[in-house]
Amino acid sequence: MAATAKQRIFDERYKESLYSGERPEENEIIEELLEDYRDLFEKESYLSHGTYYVGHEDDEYLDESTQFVEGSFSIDELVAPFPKRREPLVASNKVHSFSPISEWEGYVTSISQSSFFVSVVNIKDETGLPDDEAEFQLHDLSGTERESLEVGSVVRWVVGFEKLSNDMRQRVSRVHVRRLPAHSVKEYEKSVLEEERFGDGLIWNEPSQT
Amino acid sequence: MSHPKPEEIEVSIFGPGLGECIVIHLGSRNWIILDSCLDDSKNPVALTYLNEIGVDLNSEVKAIIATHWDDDHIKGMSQLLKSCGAAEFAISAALRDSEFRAFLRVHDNQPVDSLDRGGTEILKCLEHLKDSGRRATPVLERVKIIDWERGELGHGKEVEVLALSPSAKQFDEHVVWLTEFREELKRREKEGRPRRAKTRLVGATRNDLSIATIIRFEDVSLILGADVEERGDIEMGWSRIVDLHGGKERKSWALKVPHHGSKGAHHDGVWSELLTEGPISVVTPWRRGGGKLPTEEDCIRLAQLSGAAYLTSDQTLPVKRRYDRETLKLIKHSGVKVDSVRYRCGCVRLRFPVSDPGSVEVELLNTAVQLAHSPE
Repeated sequence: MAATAKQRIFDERYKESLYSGERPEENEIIEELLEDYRDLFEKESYLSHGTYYVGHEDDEYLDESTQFVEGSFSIDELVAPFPKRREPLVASNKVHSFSPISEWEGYVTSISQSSFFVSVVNIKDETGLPDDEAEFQLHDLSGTERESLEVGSVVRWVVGFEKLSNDMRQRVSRVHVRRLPAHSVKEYEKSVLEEERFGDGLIWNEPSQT
Repeated sequence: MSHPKPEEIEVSIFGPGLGECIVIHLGSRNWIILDSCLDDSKNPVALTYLNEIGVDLNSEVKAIIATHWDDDHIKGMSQLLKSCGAAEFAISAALRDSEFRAFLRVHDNQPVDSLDRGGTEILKCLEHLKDSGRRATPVLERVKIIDWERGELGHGKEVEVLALSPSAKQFDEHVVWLTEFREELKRREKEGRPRRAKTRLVGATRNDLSIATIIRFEDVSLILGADVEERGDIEMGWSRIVDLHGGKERKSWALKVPHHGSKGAHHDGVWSELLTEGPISVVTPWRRGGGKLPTEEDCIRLAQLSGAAYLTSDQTLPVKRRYDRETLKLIKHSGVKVDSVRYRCGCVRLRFPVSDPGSVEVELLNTAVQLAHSPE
């Protein structure tokens, strides 16, 4: 459920950046999703990938220095920095609809001067095992995406048909670098504490060395 | 396919391009499994194979070893672990460290559902261990993973599965690297610099923690090289293993070639100090980043150094057979170059009586081939 909520937020952000070129600060859909997202994690007392703990002060595994934040935070506080795209890629008034035929997600395995390789998994494949490797040209990305590209970056690739307002249909291929959550010290340190507790439940053999 | 005889040793090496798995019969229906990968139907290949030959997974698989948690060695491991209820689980000692598990966990915690995040499968295995109360063995070099006394098995020999790596220095380097990661996060926040994105874990230092093993049947042995590479340091990688074991024991007659036959995993001393002249070698293929292993040069080197060298698969599953016409047209129109990185799952199977490894029977199943030249 948490993953679905997070996925929906990112998908909405993705669509916004794709079609309008920028994200308005007050977006009803995003705000609605964020509300659900907050509710979800307030129940769990822990915002799993964010910077903030929205929880109870008597959580035994949080130290005194932990900052408790009640109230709002924006998606920009949860994810890694990513410059806003200034120019829209597509003039939105010309595109009537987009029908994706196939979609892949993948991670960047290497970057050369003019291209980058991505191990891709068809999103319908539940094993998450890359079957293919796709080589994209760096100029397929916007300038800001190129700047943020690194080995391990997660990429979404969609091919399909676009219907224009003049009723023309055209084949399209879109590749985008996904904006990922950012690491935070607090999340990391909390995770270490959790793993210490998790480790108490693991039973290890005493290894015998020859 | 039939089950091997009680006195017979069987080593089956599976390798479908994005994966590697070794299934070994040590005698009298006692099996061990090293690593896990998926077959052409995307099921754990070890389960498919052992079910086919009538092995009771719950009682006859005695140990599962996860040499490291790279994608090509770990897929399906949690399913394997659940199916083989009596098997000891051996993993790198690094996973005993809560900070390292936290590192994997924070990377795993992100909204990318279709991909695993590099540590997903090994975390699933740990969760299963905790839930089921099963024990795990933390492995460093010279740790005995499992053994049988002389006379316990049908062939009468003492059997020992021993870890050759990782060395203490490699483990220490890993701890330092992890500390640096945490300190870097702190520095960025303190200096107000942009925070690091949680990219997908790709490689990093995992090969350094890889568990190579030697399986000894008293005077007969074989080496399984996992993804151990050479670091040019006497305290790490193959230099360390050769230094520790070279000239001190009987040489091994077969090798699962480390790291898909890459040049970076080659060490002359392995062939001169640890292996008999003209050993049997088996290598599994791999593709990524526009490159593939083994390269043509690697194949020639392996063929020259071995009495017989084998590759577990030389046929990829072509892109055009996996997508419909519409999708293929769209891919072509996009100008994006798409290459299949999945080979058909092949297997090299060695069967021999432990008293006479020279009479080994080598079977090449599915797409496995003997190496004489480049695989493609």
